[in-house]
Amino acid sequence: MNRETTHLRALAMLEACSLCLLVFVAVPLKYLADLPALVKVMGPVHGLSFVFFVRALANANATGSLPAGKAWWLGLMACVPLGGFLGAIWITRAEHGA
Amino acid sequence: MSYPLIKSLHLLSIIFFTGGMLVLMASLLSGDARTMQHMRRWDRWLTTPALVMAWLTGGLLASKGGWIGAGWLSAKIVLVVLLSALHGFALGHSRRARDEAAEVRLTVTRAMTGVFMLAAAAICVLVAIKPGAH
Repeated sequence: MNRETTHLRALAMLEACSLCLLVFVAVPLKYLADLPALVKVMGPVHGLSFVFFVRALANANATGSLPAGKAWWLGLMACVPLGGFLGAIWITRAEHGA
Repeated sequence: MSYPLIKSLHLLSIIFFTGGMLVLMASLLSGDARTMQHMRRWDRWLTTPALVMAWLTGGLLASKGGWIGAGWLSAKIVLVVLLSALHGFALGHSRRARDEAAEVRLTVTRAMTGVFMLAAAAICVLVAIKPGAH
């Protein structure tokens, strides 16, 4: 198993989970229940996980494990809630040659 | 933690990150496998932790200083995401040269170095001038 791809998949999952928590839990809590605390925590967590996901995409591309076109698509998918999960599945399938 | 202390930590992380990146790219330009191996180890223990620390302290500074949402900060964040991606790319480039015994693509490395320096210069200007801030 390729080290860069494993790393990339883990970061894609982390990024996707943090975005879902932010959008589907933290933001509704802030605006519907006037509880902004979770947004204050999840905002930076998601920001950091996104940055390190982008860094991992560039790394995987440079090592030759991920073509540039796929890297751009994965980056775009990560901006959409649940898109990161699809990206992680895509990475696994590509790795197993499906 | 006080604002000046966080600022000091932020500056220190940036100095380590920038130094580490320039040395990493210099090792790529040298094309020497042994030097690149040393630089990857150096990167694992210094440059990457410095990058993480720079993001953490930067976020704290933006929050404590009330800068979140400022135009200059948004522009800076885009540039720092670019620098983080460049770091991943340079490391991957170095690892590929080791794994495939491939020659380092000098044009790509020179371009990376140029982009890195330009982005770093733009960040310095943005932070020093803070355009749009009163």
